[in-house]
Amino acid sequence: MLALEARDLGRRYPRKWGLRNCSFAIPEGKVAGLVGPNGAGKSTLLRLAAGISRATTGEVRVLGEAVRPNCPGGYPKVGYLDQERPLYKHFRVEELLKYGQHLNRQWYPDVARRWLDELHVPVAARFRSLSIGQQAQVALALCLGKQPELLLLDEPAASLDPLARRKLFGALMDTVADRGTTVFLSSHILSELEPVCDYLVILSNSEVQLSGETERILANHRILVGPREQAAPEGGTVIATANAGRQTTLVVRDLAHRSVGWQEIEPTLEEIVLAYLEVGQ
Amino acid sequence: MIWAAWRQQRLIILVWVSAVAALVGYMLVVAFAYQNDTHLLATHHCGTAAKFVSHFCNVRRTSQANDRSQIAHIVGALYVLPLLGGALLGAPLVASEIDRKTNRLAWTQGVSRTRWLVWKWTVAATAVALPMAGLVVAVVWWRVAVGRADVMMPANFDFTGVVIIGYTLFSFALGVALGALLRHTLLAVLGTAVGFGLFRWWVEVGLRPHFAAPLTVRSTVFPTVPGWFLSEGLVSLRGASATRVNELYRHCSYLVYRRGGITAPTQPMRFKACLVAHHIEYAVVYQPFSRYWAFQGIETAIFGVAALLLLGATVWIVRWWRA
Repeated sequence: MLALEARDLGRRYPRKWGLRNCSFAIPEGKVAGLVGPNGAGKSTLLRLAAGISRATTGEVRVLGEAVRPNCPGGYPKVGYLDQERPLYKHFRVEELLKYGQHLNRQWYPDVARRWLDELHVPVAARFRSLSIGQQAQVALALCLGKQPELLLLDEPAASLDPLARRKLFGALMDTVADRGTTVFLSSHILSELEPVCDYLVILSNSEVQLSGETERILANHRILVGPREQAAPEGGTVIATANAGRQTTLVVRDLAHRSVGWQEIEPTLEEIVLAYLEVGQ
Repeated sequence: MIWAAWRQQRLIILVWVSAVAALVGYMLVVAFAYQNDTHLLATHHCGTAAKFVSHFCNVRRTSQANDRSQIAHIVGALYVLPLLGGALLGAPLVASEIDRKTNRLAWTQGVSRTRWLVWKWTVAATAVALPMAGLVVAVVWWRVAVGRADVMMPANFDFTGVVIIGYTLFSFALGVALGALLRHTLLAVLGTAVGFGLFRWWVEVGLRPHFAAPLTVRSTVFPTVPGWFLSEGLVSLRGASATRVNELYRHCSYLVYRRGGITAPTQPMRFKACLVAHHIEYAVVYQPFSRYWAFQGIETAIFGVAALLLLGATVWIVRWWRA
């Protein structure tokens, strides 16, 4: 089954499209990264998937069911972490956990509590008195307490220190391994996602530039270096071209056969992503 | 959901309950002072010529006048209180969640938006209405104690009895709906004040006189009616047209006052005799005092139903929310 599927999904804001012609499918059990520059539509996409926003065109399906706002029974199987961590500032941390318990039929108090205890977040403190990093951890604990089948995390690592960041990704890997949870997380820093993601959605200029499993993306792309005057190789799609002096560097997708006169290099994920983001600009 | 709704508005609910309790306390103090002053003025025969100018009576009279002005302040507060409570608890109910984006947290839990809203609304509506119910009991006693017994007149009808619960629920529901629509607490408060004022005015002027067919009393002298005076007019016992009746009335006025002079003590008698001779009587239309509780019930029901309709509208707004 697909954990998350977007079909021609679009969301128009009064002045411009926040997201357009967005189609991709994430199988269950994947850790999928959502990459794109600021303002590319990452948060819009996640809010649509979480049922907060309403799509202008197309639809988004979560765990086989079409997402719509005001779903009867809410969204018990989805944990959503908003970019701004909007929690009740005057609540104590334990009250926020109680809030989660009261608003979810399926709630695992130990899971949320253990998460905060391990990170030494004081549960008796008021939310607004916590540091930004601790606030992020509380928001995350509220997602994890549901033991959801799909985690939608908007910039989960932002405002975390490197240690907490490593711990976060470690814990995410554990839940994926233990419970088969699907994770869809956004970031504008690829290096953060690269070690954990086995699926990638590249978003730029409100459109999906590329989506697929990271291994296949790596296998499908090549960097070609050759003299500037030389014609582009046949049987492949040139994604990006960069000229430096008398040399030309191409990023090519689905190269059918070896091209004569070009030096072929296996690219890193970062090089591929940057090539797509440049196109989108 | 009940706990969550209560926890979110706990502080503001406590402020509201304390405000109502403080007003009731103030009402008691003023009522006892007023009764004491009235009692002393009566027992010391301050109304009689002999005692009228005594120092004691002067002091008591000043004190009683002071009580009266405080009573007027309390009446003013009772007028404003339903709007205040409704706006205080209603306007931020949805608007503040949207303002702080906490709706994104609430709407991604295991509860539908409709359920979320209806629970929040119910808890807050109960919290806003219950203190008002206590206040109604206090006012029923208080209005008698401070000599405001003529409760059918709008000046007293509007703050005595159960209508204030209806008013409060309505302004609360209006505050919630406008907060959800405008997504701005302050604008919602202002809109609630305007909308509440207009609706109250419309019900009082347009609907309340017609809750039941009004009664008419006829008399050769201008009658005082036991209830809410609506309108006065002249009628002909012989079935003459309205124009003719007015002509005859002017005729009598001219005959008696213009010709005979206005100051002579016998003139009112002659004027009345003239009207009787032409078979003209005064007719006063009014709502009797005995309908007080029925009218209170009807008006409370109107505001209560309007509040529920506003809840329905709010559910619709929140369901169709495009964040």
